[in-house]
This record gives sequence, structure tokens and C-alpha cells, in this order.
Amino acid sequence: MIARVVAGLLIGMLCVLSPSAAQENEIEAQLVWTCPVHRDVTESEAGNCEFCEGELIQTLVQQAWSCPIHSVISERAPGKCPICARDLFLITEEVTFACPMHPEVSAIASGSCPICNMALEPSTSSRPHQNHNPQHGGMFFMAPDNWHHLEGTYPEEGVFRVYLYNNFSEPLNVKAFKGRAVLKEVFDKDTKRTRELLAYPLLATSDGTYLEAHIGSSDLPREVTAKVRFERNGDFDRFDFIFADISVDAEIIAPTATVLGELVIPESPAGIATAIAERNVRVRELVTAGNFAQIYLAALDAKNLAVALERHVEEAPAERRASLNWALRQLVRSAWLLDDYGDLGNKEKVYMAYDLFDEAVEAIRSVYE
Amino acid sequence: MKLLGRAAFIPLIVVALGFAVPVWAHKPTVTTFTYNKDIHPIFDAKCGSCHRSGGVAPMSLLTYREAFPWAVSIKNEVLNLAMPPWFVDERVGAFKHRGALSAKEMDTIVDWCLGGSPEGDPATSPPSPLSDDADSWPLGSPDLELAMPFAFELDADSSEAVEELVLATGLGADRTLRAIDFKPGSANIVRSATMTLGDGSEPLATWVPGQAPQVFPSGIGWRVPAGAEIRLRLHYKKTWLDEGSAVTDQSTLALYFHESDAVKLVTTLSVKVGSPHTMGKDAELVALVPELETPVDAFSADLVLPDGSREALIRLYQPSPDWPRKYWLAEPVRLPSGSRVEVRVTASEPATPAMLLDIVSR
Repeated sequence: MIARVVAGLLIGMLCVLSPSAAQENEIEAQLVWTCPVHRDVTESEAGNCEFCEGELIQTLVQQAWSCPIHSVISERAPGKCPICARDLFLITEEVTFACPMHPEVSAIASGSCPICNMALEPSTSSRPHQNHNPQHGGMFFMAPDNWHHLEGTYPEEGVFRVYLYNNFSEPLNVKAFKGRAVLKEVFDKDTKRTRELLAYPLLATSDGTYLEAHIGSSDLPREVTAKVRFERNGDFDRFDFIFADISVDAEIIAPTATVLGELVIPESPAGIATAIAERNVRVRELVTAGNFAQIYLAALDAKNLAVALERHVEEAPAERRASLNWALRQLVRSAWLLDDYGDLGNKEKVYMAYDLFDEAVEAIRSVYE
Repeated sequence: MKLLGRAAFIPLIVVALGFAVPVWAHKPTVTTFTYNKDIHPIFDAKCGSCHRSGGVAPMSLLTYREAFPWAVSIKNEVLNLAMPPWFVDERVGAFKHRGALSAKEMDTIVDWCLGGSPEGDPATSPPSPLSDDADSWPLGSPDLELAMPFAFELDADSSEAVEELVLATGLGADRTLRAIDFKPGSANIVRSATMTLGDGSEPLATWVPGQAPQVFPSGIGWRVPAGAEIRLRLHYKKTWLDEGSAVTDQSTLALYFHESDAVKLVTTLSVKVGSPHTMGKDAELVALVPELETPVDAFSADLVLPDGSREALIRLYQPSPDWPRKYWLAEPVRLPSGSRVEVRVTASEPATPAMLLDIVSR
């Protein structure tokens, strides 16, 4: 979902950049109400935070372009990172106006300091969930608590590492967390529990940079499940990784937002069905490779194609319409589920949603073959 | 905290000044759908019979202020296929009164729920929902109107109850039923109603909120003998809005009869899991009623023709006894003599539900 919001913001930005909307520059910044502690909270009106009941404050948010690994970069237009030359991707950030002399003075509009009358200067700060890009060449997921984030890497044969981040994708000291790397487990139907047959402890490095487990040598691809506990006495959350290759820290996977292309809807129903099948090939590759956080791009494209195809249902043979309607709705449903579960990196749920997705694509294809 | 060059911010400062009054302040919006333009028409058509003020659902969705706080729940219910309750696997059979969302409707709702749930232009705000006209029946004045003889009270301490009562028709001669309708006295507590004839084994009709009147296909009817009694089973359930207060209900049944008796008569066949029924003579299937005690994962009925070929009649996905429904086939299905009807259930707990089949002889 979060990844999809980022993509949605990108679509919004593309609208802003279109000639017709170019005059309406004010769309680039929006006033929202947020909690000073829980910055995820954004509401349209004043009120209280749903988590801590603290009073919401007003803040100004705007879109900007940042580097997937150098978060200090904030540009007003797309381009390359001045530090590493990577493509910039779209984020939203908060804007405040502060007095250079009196840091306690902060406003959501320009003006002058009530103490010294100096002009307030704008500054920006990050908002949560803007960067879900791996920082060490691994795979990046969000925990079910929507706050913690985690990246798994396979930097050398037999070594599995887990980096932890907060909701701003800032690194966390991992010493406060417990976890293990599970390599083999079975589901016991009687107890309805998963029993682990082979697991290794994830141990923190002395500087708390990452958790590491030595999981023994085996051929690629390596499948590892990290089970990490974020709260003392809390449950262990699972994150499923499939490493097709050794993770190389310098090779950051292309940021998600920059590969989002404009969706072209073919004119003929058969053309749309073919385009859906093409997206399915891509989704299957990503599911198989364990690249769950990237699935949403092709999945949501496919569901947009399915919505377009629904307008042509009456042109299909009468006896196929009911099952076509069913398949189109199942495609929409499963695409949204893939978007949701992909962010969480839960293999079981992703596979379940993909089975529904693949079944729907197959049913659509059978109508137009 | 990142400090930017001042030059980069000149446009923003100009913009920010325009925000002295947050006239269009809203949650960051990433959806192009708005409540007024896109969502209300769907909610009105597909959810509004229950999710309206005074309806049986615990919340109305028919105004923006009522709907948007539920955005996350709405998304989950829709994606889990829990709402709207229809349960039919549409690859099999074709049924009247389709209750499912289309792909476009589902996508629009989920996108709006996840994308900031904007209200849209208040100028295009939908009209306030009209209250039901308590005196009118959609099919017109009934031939026989049967009101409950007393008002049932769901007392202040109870949140749920099942009430069974018998309504005497007082018919002086046999009549043939053409249509049946039901009107809850207090729409906020009546969750469902089942109307059966005689000893209670032949369900004439079921009713759930929002359901259209039950009209038998043309030329088909149900014999109601002179002096017949109709058994009415009502499921009452309060929402939290009515917790702690007593609510009374006096519901009404409307019967419509054929002018002449020259119609084919409907009979009901009950088929249980593990006990297939073999047809002794040719018949036509017009409707199916799942009779469930508990929710199950899947419930289906198949027709096995004399040549051994198999045809699915209905497949229900996660049906619930909370939503009893008669599924009317868009076109009657032929059940030839010698064919066999089988029902199957998938459930985590042992369950032996029955599938009731409304059939007419050929």
C-alpha cells in the first residue's frame, strides 16, 4: 500500500507537470494535520491522533525528488543525484519556516520572527515511508506495525544479514531486536502451527549495524525467512527472502518510482488481454525471485487494464461473459492484495494472492485466445 | 532536517502565503476518485439498502461524513469479499438480482479508500437519502397483506433474538402465489426473514435487507391451500446504536396471487451432503436456497446427467447463515429424469447443510 501511495504521488506529480496543470503550481504543496509524534497520521481536519490522542498540528507537505540512498538530496525536478548520479525518485516532505536565530519559532507560512523580526527561512524534513529502496543491495520490506522496516542481504555465500530501519528509513541500532534466520520449516496440520526444522540465531554486530546469521553454504538461489521481534514480548514477524544472487552493496536496485511508466491501454479487447498476460509474466518473475516490494507496479497495471477490459464484456460471447466478469473482478482484487502483501514481504500471503491473480489472468486469456 | 537553497523556495513561499486560510486542506490525495462523483453512486446502489440512516447496518455510508472514517474497513471488507454479501462464484450459473461489485466498482472503492478518501466538489454532493415510504409496496397493492399479530420487543438487555410465529392466511380457497414481499417494521433490527408454508419444510421465500420482491418466473407459482398458515422466522440483531434500549418490530408480509390456476406449481426438494437425489421424472430448477447452520468455506450443488456428465448448478464461496437468500436462476435449468443432484461442502468444522431446490414439473 505504501509503495502504491508513493506511485500515486508520482502520478499526481505527472499531472502537475502536464501543460494544462502547469499554472496551478499550488498543487505542489498541501496543508495537512499531523501528529507531532506519529507522523504517519495525516488528516484533513484538526483533531486528535488516533494512536496517542495528542492534538494534531498543521503542516505543509510538498513533493520533491530525492536520491534512493542519499536522502539529503531534495530537488524540485527529476534528475540525477549530484553525489552518486543515480536517478532521483519522487517523495513528499514537510516544509516549515523557521527563524535562523530562534529555533523554537516555526511556522507553516513565511513571515518574520516574532522575537527578532528576522525573515523566517524555509526548511524541509522527511516524511515517513518515502524511501522503501534497499540501502545495501538487498530486499526491503515493511513490518506489519507500519513503523519498522527491514532489509535482508546475502553479501557472501552462507551469510545472511538483516538491517533495520525506522519509518523514515533511517538505520536503527539492531541490538534491541531479536531474530532468527529460518531455513526449513513444516506446517503441522493438526496443531495448525509452523514447526521450524532448521534455524540460526541472528546476532547483532558489536556496533549494532546489522544482525547476521551464518547459514551454511548452498547453491543459489537461497531462500531464507527472517523472523524478527520488534517489541519486547511481542510476536515474531516473518519476512521471506529469495536471493537469486550475492547482494552487492554498491548496486542499488533501481528505485521503484522511476520505473513507473505511463499505462497505454490497447484498443481491442484481445490486445488488452494480451497486455494483461504480459504483466502476469512480469509479476510471476518478481514473485519467483522474491522481489515482493516491486510487484505492485505490474500488478496494478494489470488491474487497470482489467478495468478497461470490463467495458468490452458485452462484446465477448454470451456464454463467457459471467466468467469474464468474475475473472476481471478477481484480477482487481488480487492485484490490490499483491500490492498490500508485497510491501510486507510475507511469502505465504504473496503466493496466495498470486494464485488468485494467475487464475484470473488465465481465465481472461481463455476468453480471447 | 535538510536545508535548501533559498532560491529553490521562492515559488513555494508564494504558494504558502496562499494558505493563510486552509480552504482546501486535505489528507494527501493520490486517488482521482471522489466521494461525490464516484463513490456515492456505488454505495447508494450496492450498500445503501443496509448502510443508510436507520438501516440494519451499524453505519450509514450515504454521506461523506458518515463514510470516510470507515475507509480502511471498507477496503478490507470489499477485498475479502465479505461485503456486499453475495457469495456466488459467478463462473457457474446465472442468477437474478446480482449483488456483486463489478471490477470497476471494486477498484474505484479500494483506490478511494487507500488514496486519501477525498470528498470532491460539494456542489455535486448527492441528495440526502430518502426515507422509505412506509405505505408503499414496490409491486403495488398486495392481494393479501399479513402483519405480525403483535409487536415483538427486543428488550434493552438483549442484542439478538430469533422469533418464530405463524400467520394465518384465512384463505377460503386454494390460491397460487405469483410473488411475495416482506417489509420490516423496524429496519434497524430485522436482519433476515424466512417464510415457509405449512410444517416449515418448504421455504416460500427468504428476505435480507435490500432484497427485491420475490417474483416467480412467468407461468410458475406456489400453491397456497385454503386455510394455509405461513410460518415466519425472524432474525433480530441490534447494532451498537441501539444497545441498551428496547426496540419493537411488527413486520408485514405481502402476497400476490395468479389470476388463474393454470400455472406450473413449484415444489421444494431438500438435498443433503452425502445423500444425492435422483430425479424420478423431468423437472426444471428455478431457484436454490442454501440452508446453513454455521458459516462454511464453500457450498455447491452439481447436476450429474444420466450419461455421467457433470454440470455445476451453484457454487457459493464462504456463505453465511446470517444472509439467508434464495438464489433465483436467470433461466430455469432442466433436470432430466434419471439425473442426480449432489451437494458438497467444504468447512473447517463438521457441517451437514442442505440445499433446497425449487423445481417445477415439466
